[in-house]
Amino acid sequence: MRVADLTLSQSISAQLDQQEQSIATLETQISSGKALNQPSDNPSAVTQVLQLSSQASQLTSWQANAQTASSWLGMGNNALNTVLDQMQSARTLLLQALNQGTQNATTYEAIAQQLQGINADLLTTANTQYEGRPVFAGTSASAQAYDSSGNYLGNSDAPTVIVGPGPGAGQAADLSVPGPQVFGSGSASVFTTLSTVISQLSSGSPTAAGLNSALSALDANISTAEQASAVLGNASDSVTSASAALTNQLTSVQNSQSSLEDVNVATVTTQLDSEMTNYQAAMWAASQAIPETLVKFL
Amino acid sequence: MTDLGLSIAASGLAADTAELDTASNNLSNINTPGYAREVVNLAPESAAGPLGVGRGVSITSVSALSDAVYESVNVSAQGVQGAASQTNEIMTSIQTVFPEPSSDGLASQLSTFWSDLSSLAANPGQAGAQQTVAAAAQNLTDTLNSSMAQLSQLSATLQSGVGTGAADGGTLAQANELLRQIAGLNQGIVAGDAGGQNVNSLTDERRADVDQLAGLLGITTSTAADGALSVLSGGVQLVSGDVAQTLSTTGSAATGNLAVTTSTGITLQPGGAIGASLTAINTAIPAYQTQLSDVANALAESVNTLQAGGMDANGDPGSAVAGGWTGTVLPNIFVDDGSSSTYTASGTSAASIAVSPAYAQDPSLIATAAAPGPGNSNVIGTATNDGTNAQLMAALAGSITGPDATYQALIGTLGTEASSASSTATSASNLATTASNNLASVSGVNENEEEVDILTAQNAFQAASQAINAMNQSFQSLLQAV
Repeated sequence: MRVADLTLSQSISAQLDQQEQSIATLETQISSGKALNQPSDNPSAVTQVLQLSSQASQLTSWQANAQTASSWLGMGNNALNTVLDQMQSARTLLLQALNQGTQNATTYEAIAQQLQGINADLLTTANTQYEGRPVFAGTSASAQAYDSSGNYLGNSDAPTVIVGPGPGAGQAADLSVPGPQVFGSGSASVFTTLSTVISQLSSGSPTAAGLNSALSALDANISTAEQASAVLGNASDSVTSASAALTNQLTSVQNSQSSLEDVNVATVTTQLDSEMTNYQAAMWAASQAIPETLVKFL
Repeated sequence: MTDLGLSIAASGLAADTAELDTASNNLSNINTPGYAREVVNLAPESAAGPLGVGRGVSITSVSALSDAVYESVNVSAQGVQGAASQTNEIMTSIQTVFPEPSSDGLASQLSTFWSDLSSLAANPGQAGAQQTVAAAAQNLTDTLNSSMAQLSQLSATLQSGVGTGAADGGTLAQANELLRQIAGLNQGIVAGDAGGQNVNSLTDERRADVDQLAGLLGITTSTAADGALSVLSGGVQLVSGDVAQTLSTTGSAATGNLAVTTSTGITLQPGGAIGASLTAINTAIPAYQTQLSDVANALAESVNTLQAGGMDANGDPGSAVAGGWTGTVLPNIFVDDGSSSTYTASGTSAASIAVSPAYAQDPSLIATAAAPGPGNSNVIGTATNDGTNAQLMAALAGSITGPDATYQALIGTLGTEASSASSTATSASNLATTASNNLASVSGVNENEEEVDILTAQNAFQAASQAINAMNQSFQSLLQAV
């Protein structure tokens, strides 16, 4: 076929243009570190990357929630250990009071004083706060879980956070248990038990029946607190395992994302290398072909 | 010998001069668009002289070399390429409106919004967390608004690029000028042909105009016996003989019916760059705006619904309560625009969607808590740290009909369309190159060929001169002998 000179020069410049374009694309990939720089680079991979990063963002949120839950539960567990210690001390004092042969009005009063101290400590523990919120007040916005007389100010809903996928908002984890589940509710609360005992002892002549019924009430309180401790311990365990699962999922999501999105530097550099060689060859050929005409040899 | 011999030699000189002229004309036009290589057609002088010796050479014509099939294939290939490369440019521009995947895109802003809501759910009463959610919502509406505005701007730019016709500098004005020129050239060619003149240069000029017009409008051509070229686009005759139609636009981008019509009122279905722009203005860009508005609608409706069904951390209900609640009722989170208090889903809602002023002013007015009901101890008017409703809002991140999924679908469509526009442009460009190379193989100028022609003509010229010289010397010797 005849080749017109215009054709030759046009096809040379078109060829060089195309090569420059692929070099520019590879250059962008290397400098950005991303194989996907616009949706058309690989439409299905881009859609997948968007899905994966949305998933990664959710997993990260859940992980942050699990962290929050774990802090709350840690706070609650510590408080419960203190509560159980304080209740045991109260029980020891109560048993001492029941040993009536060795007691008189003065010693009763001394025991009452100590119990008063324990009651105040228990109230302080019951009002334990995490980030400005009382741990045992449920979802109530009350500034304190218990007032100074031991009346519960919170509500009966355990605060929750979402730590994984599930129906509705997702898999919920309790942050804590409402106060009554730890300290007993209403007239059965440990605060009522203690104030009853204290007033009996302060009168100077407590009856054995009265003290015995206080002891069994306190035992009931201790068993309630132990149950709450078990609940919190379980919740803490399940948050820990949820958190571990989230970490694994996040790692695998991030790996898939990175395998789609990140440039394989070795491959792309090799591609760039071969494109550059082609480009140089094409430029050399052009520099040879364009000036060659018959005129040169006449 | 004598007179006859000299005139035979002279005819040779004339033919060689014509060859030289043609070759140098070809070389001068080596880079001229539309130029068809010319050749001198020679024939032996017909009548034989005494003794049967020929009477020399005669120049029958100077013709331009071309090929009708290659020309028409080239014209249609230019039209296809004009459309494909314009579409590719438009898709590239649309892609810059959606910078994905990146941390600046809407997808990542949606993720931020959801994770901010998740943090708020763990701490519903915390002013900082409330503020962060309101700011993330504001970012979302800003991005939606500006993406819509960029698409509208692109549409407006394309529309002014097409122009309204007449002489406004748009591509339509260029097309009109070309149509007028083609009609004018037709007139010259028909008259010249009839008068027996050489019209090659007019034909060359017309060919260049047709090529350019093909890229703009996508045309087909046919040449009549008298040399006049008819131009058609989408079956509508634009040039007939020396009459050209003037094109102008009707309709508008806003109503999606921007069209090109002839001066006789016929609506064209143009191809080429103008056709591609019209398709983008009327169909493609509005389709992306609708899809983006679907994202806005999914976001606004799902969040507003949860807002209306919940209660904020202060105990304000999300919607009016039977039984005479006289306190605050929560505003919508997302509204139609900065002066509205409700949200109505529409195909263009992303253009104006806004965070409601009432909520923007007081970011605590977000329904983080569930409305009072079985399963909770919330009470209207009583502050609460319940975050279960905010948890439901945060969970919209994973909804398969939610804004994230809707947006991912948009990006998928965009990526597929842009990548196919790019490969169509490449293959159309290759086809156009092949078509124009094929045409050039017949009508293009090759420098070496012309130089060979020049050398041949030069040699022949020298030989003819030598013949004259020989005859001259013969005369001289004869004259001296007398």
